[in-house]
Amino acid sequence: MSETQKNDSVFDDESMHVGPLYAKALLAAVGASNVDAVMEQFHSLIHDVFDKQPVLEMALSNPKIPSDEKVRVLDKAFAGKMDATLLKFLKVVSRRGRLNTLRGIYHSASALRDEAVGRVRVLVTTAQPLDAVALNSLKEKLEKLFKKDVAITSKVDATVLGGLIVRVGDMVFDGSVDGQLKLLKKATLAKAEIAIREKLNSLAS
Amino acid sequence: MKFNSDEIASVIQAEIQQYGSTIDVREVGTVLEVGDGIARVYGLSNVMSGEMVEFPSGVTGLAFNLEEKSVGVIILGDYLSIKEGDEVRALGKLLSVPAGDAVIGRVLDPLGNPLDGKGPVNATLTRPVELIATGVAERQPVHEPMQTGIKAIDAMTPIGRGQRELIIGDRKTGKTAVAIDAIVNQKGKGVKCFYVAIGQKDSSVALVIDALEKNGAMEYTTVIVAGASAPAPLQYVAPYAGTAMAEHFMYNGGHALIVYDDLSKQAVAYRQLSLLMRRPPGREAFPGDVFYCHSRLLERSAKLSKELGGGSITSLPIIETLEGEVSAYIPTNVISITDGQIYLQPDLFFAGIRPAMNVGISVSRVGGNAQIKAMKKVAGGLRLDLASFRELEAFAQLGTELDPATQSKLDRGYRMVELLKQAQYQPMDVAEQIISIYAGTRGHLDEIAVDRVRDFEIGLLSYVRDRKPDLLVKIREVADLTPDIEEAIKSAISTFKASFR
Repeated sequence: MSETQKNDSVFDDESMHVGPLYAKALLAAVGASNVDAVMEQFHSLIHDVFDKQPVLEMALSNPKIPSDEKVRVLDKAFAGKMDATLLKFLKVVSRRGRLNTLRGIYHSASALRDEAVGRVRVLVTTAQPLDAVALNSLKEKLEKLFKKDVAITSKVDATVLGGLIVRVGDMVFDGSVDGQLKLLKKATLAKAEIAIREKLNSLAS
Repeated sequence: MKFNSDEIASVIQAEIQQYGSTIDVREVGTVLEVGDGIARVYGLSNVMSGEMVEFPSGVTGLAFNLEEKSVGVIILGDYLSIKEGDEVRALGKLLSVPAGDAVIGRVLDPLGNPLDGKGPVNATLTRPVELIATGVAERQPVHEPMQTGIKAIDAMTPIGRGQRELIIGDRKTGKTAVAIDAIVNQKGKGVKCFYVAIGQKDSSVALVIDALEKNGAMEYTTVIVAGASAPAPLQYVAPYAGTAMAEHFMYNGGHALIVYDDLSKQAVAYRQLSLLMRRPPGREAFPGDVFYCHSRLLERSAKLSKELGGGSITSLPIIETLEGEVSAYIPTNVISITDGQIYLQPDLFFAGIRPAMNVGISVSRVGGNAQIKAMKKVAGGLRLDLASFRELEAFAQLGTELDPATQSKLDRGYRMVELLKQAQYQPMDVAEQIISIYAGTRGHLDEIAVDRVRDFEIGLLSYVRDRKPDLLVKIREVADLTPDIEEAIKSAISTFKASFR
C-alpha cells in the first residue's frame, strides 16, 4: 500500500468522474466481510499485474478489442484465483467499455475505504531510514493527534538533512533541518532588509 | 554609499540568535500542467478563490478557478521557470501591492516591482489589490471639479472628483493625449495621478513617461506598466493594482486621478485567461463575468463622505473601438458603467479638430454639479449649440442659400470649433478658459476671421495675463460670473480687440 502520494491519473479526465461511481458500486457489492481481501487483490492487480505487464493493461484499455474478447481474457487469467465478485465487477466494467479507467476506480475505491474505516495515510520523509521503534512511536503520536488510524509510508530523502517532514493529504508539517534553514534564511533576510532601511545612515559609512 | 558589513552581520546574528524553531505548516499541491500564464494544480484542497500561492522558483500566483479535482492558478511572473510536478504552496493571504508616498514618481509593474532603475520601492505600506468598493453610506455626490485643462471637456463634459469618465474612440484619435493632458493639469492641485498602461507597446509607454517628465508631472504620478509582452495575468491584474495604490490616498482624505489605458486590452487578457481555464465563452468569446470585471474595478472610484475625509478617486478609463463600433460588447459595457463618455472621432481628428471630441454623443452625467458657477453660466448651452451646428454644417454643404439667422449660427459655430481646438500638453487654467469661452459664446469673435480665431485667443489671454492679472485671480476666487466680473471680461475683450489686427 504505497500509493499515498501517487497520482497516476491527476488530470480532470473522465476517470476522475467515472472512478468514484464504479468504486462506490464495487465496495457496496463486495460487502463489509471480505472488502479488505478484495481491496488487496485489486491492489495487486494494479501493481503486480498491470505495472509489470503493461501490454495487458494496454490491451484491456484498447477500445478496438471487443468486450467479449476482453471478458474471455479476464476469465482465462483470473478465474478461480480472484474473488468472484471482483472478477464479475471487472467484466461489468469491460462490458461498459470502462477498463481504461481501472486505475481511477482503484484510487477512488481505496480512498473511499480509508474514509469508511477512518484511516489517514501519512507520508513521512526523513534523511535516514527510520527504524521500527521510531516508526511505531511516530505512529502512536500521529494517531493521538488525528484521532484516527494512521498508515505510515516512509520515504528517504537525503536533502532534508535531518528531522522529518510529515505530509497528510495536502497539508505538510515541515520539521526538517532543511526547511528550518530555509525559514531562517527568509526571516533573517527580511529583518536585515528592515534594519538596513531603518538605519541606513548608521550602517553606511 | 558604502555599507558597513560588520554592522549588518551583527543584525543578522541577532536575528539568528532570537530565531525560535517552529514547524512550518503549509498546504501544498502539485503542478499538473503549466503554460500560457496559467497552471493547473492538483491538491490545495482548502485553497480559497483569489488566494496567493507560491511556486518553488519564488513566483507567485492566484487561485483563479476552483474545480472538483484541481485548482486553476494564474501565474504572476515568469511561468517558464515552473515545471510539471513542482510543489505549490498556499500562502493564506491576498495579493497586495506597495502603497503610500513611496510609489509616487515611480514606474512599477503590477506587483509593485520597480521598472525604472531607481532602486527598490521604499514602501512600508501595502494594500490588497482586490477590495470591495465603498458602500452607499460612505459616499457623497460628486461636487468638486476635476479640471482636465482641456477647454472642450471642462466646458461641455465637465468631470468631477470621484467621477468615472470614459474616453472612447478608434485608434489614433488622441485618447491617451486627453488623459495625459488631464494628468499634466493636476500640477500643484494636490491630486496624485496614476497611469496604468495595459497591453501597450513599451515604446508608447516610454513616450508617455517622457512627456510626463518633460511637463514636470512625474513628481506626483505613478506609472503602472503591464506591456504587450507581459503575460496575460499581469495585464489582467494591473488596473486593480493601480487602483489599490490610488485608494491609499483616497482613504486618507486625498485625491487621486487614475487612467486605465486601456480596458479593452485588459478585457482581452481576461478573455485569454478565462478561455485557458475553460470557462464557457459568451458574446465575442468573452466570459460571462467580464462585466463584473470592469464594474467592480470602476466602482472603486468614489467620492468619500465628509466623515471619511472626503477623499476621492477620479478614473478615466480608455476604450479603443474598432471602426467606430461603439455597440460592441466591451464598449457598451463600460459606457453603461461609467458616468459619461468622451467620444473621439477619427474624421474630426484628421480635419484638425483636436481634441477630436464629438460633442453630440459625449456626455457627463454628474459633472454639471462639479462645474464652477462661472463656467456653467459661460458654457451653458454650448454643447447643444455645437451639436446643432454640426447638423446645420452638413446641410450647408449642399450649397443652398441660407437665411441670415442660420448663416450667423453657422458662423458662430465655425468660430467656436476653432476656439475649442487646443494643442497637446498645454492645459489651460479655468479662469483663462472662462475668458476665451465667454468671448466665443457671447459673440465677441463674430467679426474675427475664422482662421484668426486662435491667434486672437492667444493674444487675448496673454493680454489678460500681462495687463489684468487681478481679473484672473478674481475669477478663480469668486468662481461666479458676477456682473462686475462680466463687465471686466467684456472690457478686456473690447480693449484687446481694438488693438488686434
